[in-house]
Amino acid sequence: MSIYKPLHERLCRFVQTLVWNEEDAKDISSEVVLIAYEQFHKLRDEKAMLAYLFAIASNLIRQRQRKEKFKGLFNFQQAVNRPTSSSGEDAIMRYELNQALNKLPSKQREAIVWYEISGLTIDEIANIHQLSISGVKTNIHRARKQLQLLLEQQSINSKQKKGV
Amino acid sequence: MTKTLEKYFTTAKSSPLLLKEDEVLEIIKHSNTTKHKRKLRYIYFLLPAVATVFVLTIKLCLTNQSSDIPNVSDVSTTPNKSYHPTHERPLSIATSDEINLLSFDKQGRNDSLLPDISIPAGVNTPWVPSFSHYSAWVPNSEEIIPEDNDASNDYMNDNGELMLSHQTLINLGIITDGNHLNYRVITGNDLSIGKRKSTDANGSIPAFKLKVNNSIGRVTYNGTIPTIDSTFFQSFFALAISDSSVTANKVSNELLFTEISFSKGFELDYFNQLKSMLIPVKVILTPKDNNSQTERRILTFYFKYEPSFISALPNHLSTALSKRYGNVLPTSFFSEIRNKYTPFGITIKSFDSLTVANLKQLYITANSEILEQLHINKQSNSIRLVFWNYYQKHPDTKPKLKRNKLKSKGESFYYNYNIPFVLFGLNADKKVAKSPIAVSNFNLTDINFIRNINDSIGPFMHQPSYPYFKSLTPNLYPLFVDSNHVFWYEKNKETNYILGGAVGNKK
Repeated sequence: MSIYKPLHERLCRFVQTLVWNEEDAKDISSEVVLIAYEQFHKLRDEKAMLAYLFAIASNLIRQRQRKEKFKGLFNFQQAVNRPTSSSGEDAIMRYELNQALNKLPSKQREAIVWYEISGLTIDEIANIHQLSISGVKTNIHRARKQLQLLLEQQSINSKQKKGV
Repeated sequence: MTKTLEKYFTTAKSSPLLLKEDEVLEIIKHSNTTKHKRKLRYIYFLLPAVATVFVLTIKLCLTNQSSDIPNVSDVSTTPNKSYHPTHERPLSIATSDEINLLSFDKQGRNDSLLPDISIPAGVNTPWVPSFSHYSAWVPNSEEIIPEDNDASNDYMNDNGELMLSHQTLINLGIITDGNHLNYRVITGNDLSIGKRKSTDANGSIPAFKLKVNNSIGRVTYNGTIPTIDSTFFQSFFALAISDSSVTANKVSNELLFTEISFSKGFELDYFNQLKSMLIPVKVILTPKDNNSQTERRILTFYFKYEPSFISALPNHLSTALSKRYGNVLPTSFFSEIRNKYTPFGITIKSFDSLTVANLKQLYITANSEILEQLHINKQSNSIRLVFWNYYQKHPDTKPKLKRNKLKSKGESFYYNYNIPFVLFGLNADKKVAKSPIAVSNFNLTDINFIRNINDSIGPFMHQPSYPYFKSLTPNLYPLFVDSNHVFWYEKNKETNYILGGAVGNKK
C-alpha cells in the first residue's frame, strides 16, 4: 500500500478524466487496484509500479471504450450523466474535456492526460508507451493542438445552441 | 498551451477523487471476497449459456436415438417404408444375353443380332439345350415299361428329353387327330432325307410311320402318317424342331423354326436366349417303306416350359418336370423375350411355311419378270435378303438417300426415295455369300408397283393364315412370294419403307 499510496491520486485523475461516468470510473479504479494487488508478486521491480498501474488502467479503459461502441450511436447512460447548467461550470468543462479527449488517438490521449493531469514525466510516459522521449513529446504536442481545436469547436457549437 | 486549455486541465485536476484511499484499503482487505464475487459474476453470466448448451445436447441425443428406432407412428403413416422390393426381388431368369437385347433401335432392330447365319448340314445345332447341369430324374424301370397307346408311358429320359405316348403327342398338337403328324405342316416341304425323294412317283406326300419309343428303345407307337394336316396351329405349339436324319453313319440336323420364322434371322439368338427354358420332346419317325432302324428320322420338338404345355402332359410327368426344371414359367415371360426379336417392334405371330405354300399356290409367283421390274437379278434360287446392316457394315457403299415428303390425309411423313435392297446368295452350305449378288434401289414407281401387287392378292384374305397378315397391317404388306422366298415391305413413318423377307429351304 505504501507503494500504491503516492500513485493513487494520479491514477484516479487519469481514470476519471477519461471515463465520464462516475460509477464506471470508480469500478475501473477499483479493478486496477485489485489486479495490481493480486499480481503484485509478479512485479520484479517496485519502481515499475507506476507503469504497471497506468498500463492496467489504460487497458481497462480501452476495454470499456470498445464495449461502449457496441451500445450504438446513442448512449443512454452517457446522456443521463451529461452535466446540465445546474451541475456547475466545472462539471461542464470536465465533460467537454472528456468528450474532446475521447476523440483523440489513444496514445495521444493517454500521453496528454498523464502529462497534464496525472503529472507523469516524459520519461515515465515513454516507459509506459515504450516510446522515445521525442515520440512522447510529439504525441503530447499533437494531442494538445488537436484538443484545442476540438474544444474551440465545442464551445462554438454550445454558443450556437444557446443562441438558438 | 492556451489559457483555455490550461483552464480545462486545471479543472480536471481540481475535481474530487471518486475513489478514496480508504476505499482502496477496503478493496485490498476484501480482495478474496471481491475475487469470489467476480467469479460468481462470471458464473452468473455463464450459467444460462452452459445450461442452454447442455439442454440442447441432451435433446439432440434423444432425437438421434428416436430416429434410429422406428416408432408406431412411423409405421402407421408410412406403411411401405419397411418394404424394399429391390432387396427382396425374386430370382431373375434374365441372362447377360437378354440384357444385350435391350440395345434395339427404334425399329426394333439389333444389328448385332442380324444374321449371317446358316445351318450347315451335318453339324449339330449349337442351340440344342444342355440340361446336364440339372439333377437328373431317372424314373424307375418299372414305371417306364411302356405299353402302346397308354398315356402312363410318358417319361423323361436321362437327358431331360420327353418320350411321349401317342395320346400325349396328340395333346401337344404334334399329332393331330388320328395319325397326322403336324410336323409335315410345319415345314411346308417334303420330308426329304439327303437325296432321297420323299414324294412318291405320283407327287403325293408319302406316309411316314410314327414311332414313339422310350429310352430302352421299345416302340410305344408305330403308326402311319398319311397326309399333311392343315390344322397346324394350336393354342400352343412347338417353338422349334430339330430334324435329325439318322442313317448308318450320318447324322444331319436341321432346325425348323415355327414361331418366329419371319423375324429376319433372329431365331438363333432367340433360341439361345430361351434354350434353358425349352423342353425337348423327341419323336422318332421311320419311313413306311423302310423298316430299318438305321435309317430313321428323329424329330425333337422344343416346347416352352409354360402352363399350356404342362397342362397337356400327364400328372406324373408334369411333376417330374417341376422337380427337374423348377416351376413353370408364365407365358408372358416368353412373349416378352420374343417381342425383342420381332422386327419393327411389332409382335408378329407365327408365319408358317403353310402360309408360304398358300401364297405360292394361290397368288403371286415372283417370276423373272417381276424381279426384273424390281431391278433384282435373280441369279440363283438360293438368294437371301440382307437388310440395312449391309450398309452399316460397308458404309463406303452407302448411297445417299433422298428424302421426300408426302402428305396423306393431312398427315405428312417422309420416306426414302431410294431404298437400298441387297441380295446375297447362299452357297452350297447355305452360308450367306460374302458379296451381294444384287444391289438395287427401289424408287417410288417401284413402290407403287409393289402396291399394285399387294392389291392383286385379294384371294389371300380368305385363307386361314390371313389373320397373321392382318395383325401386321396396315404397316406390313406382303410383297411377293415364290417357292422359297417371301418378301414384304413395311411402311414406317420414321424410316419409311423397309424391306423384309424370309428364305425357305433350298429346293
